[in-house]
This record gives sequence, structure tokens and C-alpha cells, in this order.
Amino acid sequence: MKIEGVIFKEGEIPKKLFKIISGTVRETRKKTYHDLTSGDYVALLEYLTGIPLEEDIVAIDESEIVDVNWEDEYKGIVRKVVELRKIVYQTSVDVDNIVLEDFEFENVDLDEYLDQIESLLTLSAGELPDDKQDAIKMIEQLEDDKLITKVNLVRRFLEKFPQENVGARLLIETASKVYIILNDKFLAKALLKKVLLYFPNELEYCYEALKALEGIYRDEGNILWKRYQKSAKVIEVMLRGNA
Amino acid sequence: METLDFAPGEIIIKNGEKGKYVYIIKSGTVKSKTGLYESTLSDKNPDVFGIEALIGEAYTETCTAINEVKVIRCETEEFMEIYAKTDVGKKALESFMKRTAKALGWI
Repeated sequence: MKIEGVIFKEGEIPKKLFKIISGTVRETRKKTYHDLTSGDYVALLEYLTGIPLEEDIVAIDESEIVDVNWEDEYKGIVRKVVELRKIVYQTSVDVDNIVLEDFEFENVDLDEYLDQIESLLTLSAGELPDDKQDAIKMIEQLEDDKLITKVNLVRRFLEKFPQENVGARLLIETASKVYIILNDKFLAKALLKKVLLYFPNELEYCYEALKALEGIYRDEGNILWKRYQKSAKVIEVMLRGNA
Repeated sequence: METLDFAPGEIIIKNGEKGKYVYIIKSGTVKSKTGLYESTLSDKNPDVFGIEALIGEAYTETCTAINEVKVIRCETEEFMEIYAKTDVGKKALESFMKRTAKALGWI
């Protein structure tokens, strides 16, 4: 059947198992949504366990779903749960046994991305002054309508003054503006990850960057937010230890 | 299909290992670890583990005998033919889903 809007209501225990043929269905648990698409099962957790739904489950665009039997879909259900389990491992950080791998965040080639934007917009950021204070002033004085130029200048600042911690602050401030004004999650995340890569010893900035990353991933319904939340907790404990 | 015995502390299946068997607990208690989440499986339901083998995937949890454990070890085809469409099969899905949801922090 084709449907748009509420499929199951908050508090309901699904008595039917629906498989998505097309469209997007949104489930929300613990205030975090995740979108289901073709081949996914709607409210699989609540259907199998009999736990009432925390919030409405909604087809956010016109979706086609079919009523199926768990018996016929046995292996398909196992496959979907295994996919979820893989996420558990992707998002787990064992705070007692941290290994380097826990801090290997997704690869983002920010420079390549910015080069593409620059060539598209034929923007020129101009040269940064050799004096650090003048360079900071130039970056900070740029208006919000020149945000991409600002991002470019921050990038150049990091190249020119790699040892300067103020670079971390510039990255975080610029990322926050990019996210709020341009709503460019990709770019904002990339800038924040640069803080972790360039300033791993600046724990306060790393903490701020991780909390911001957690927020962005949470907003986009990407369960990777848990990884950043846990990493932020680790840094928080380290910061307390240093206090 | 065969019945196997495991001593306390013995690992029955290991996360990441590709197996070809599904296990049904006949008696005893098993600790299951998925990521950082641990749960206890027992003969009460009875609990089943290792169902990743049904789709040719590696196990996603490590299951260790807590006490003397007896399990029925089934080939995947046997499990599909004999148990999948029964109450044991449904409970296996339910328990697998619930453990996953807990590990994800959904419940």
C-alpha cells in the first residue's frame, strides 16, 4: 500500500510487520531519528519485542510498504539486525581500553572539497599577511556573507602557522557559522575534524569540537553521534584529571 | 545436529569469526558480549545465538559459558527447517533484536 504520514502511533505495539518497497520512513527513539528505506522493516524492534513505540513512525514522503510475515522474511530480518550490530561496533569506544583506531574518524578530504567550491565560485581568498596578528584580524573581520572565503583563509592560516593554537579556535568558530548560516554539515564536520587532527593535545578545543560533532551527527540522525559523545566523555575525564 | 557441553569460562562463539552453526541453549547460562554491552542468555526461553550464520555472516557477539552449559548445535539448514518458523525461531529473533537495541542504547 502507498502511504504518507503516520504509520504507527506513539504507544502502539505494531501487530503487523511492514517492509518498505519505496520511499522513506522515519523512526525516532531516544530523541534521535533514523530513516528507513527500501528493504527495511518498519518498527522491527517494537514488532518483535512487543515494546510500545516511543514516538510516531512516519512516512516522510510517499512510501510504498507491504505487509509481510516474519516467517517468510526470517533471513531478511536477521540481515537487518546484523547491519545494526555492525553500527554498534562502529560507534563503540571502550573508555577503559582506548586504542588509536577509536580516533580514526571518517576520512574527509577538506582541501579537495574546498578546491572544488573555489573553482565553482571562482573565489579567491587572497594572501594572508605574514604577521600572525594581522592574519587573525583579517579572518575575524570577514563578514558572514563571505564564509567560504573565511574557511579558505582559516585553512591557509593552519598551513602558515601550524603551531598556533588560535587555529583551533578559528576552526571551531568558523565550523559553527558554516553549520548555522550555510547549513553545510559536510564542511562543518570537516573543519571540526581538523581540530582533532591538527590539535590533538589541545584537549579543551578537542572537547568542544567533539561536542559540536556529536550535535551535528545527532541532528542528521546519524548514529555515529554516539562515537563522538563517547570520545567527548573520554576527553572530559582527561580534562577533569588535569584540573 | 548435536548436543555439546561447555565448561565455565569456555568460549562458544567469538565475535568476528565466521561460523556455520546456530546454538540453542539446553541448560546453563551464557554471557553474550556485543561491543561494550553484555547480557545473559539462558535455557529459560530457550535462548539462541549464532544466527548470523544463517546469512553467511561472521558472528557479531562473543558468547561464553558462565556455568556448565549444554547446547544444541545446528547446521544452518537444520535450524531453518526445524526451528525457524516455530516459537524457538521467533524468540531467537526477538532476543537477537533486543540485545542489539540495548547495545545501541535504544532501550
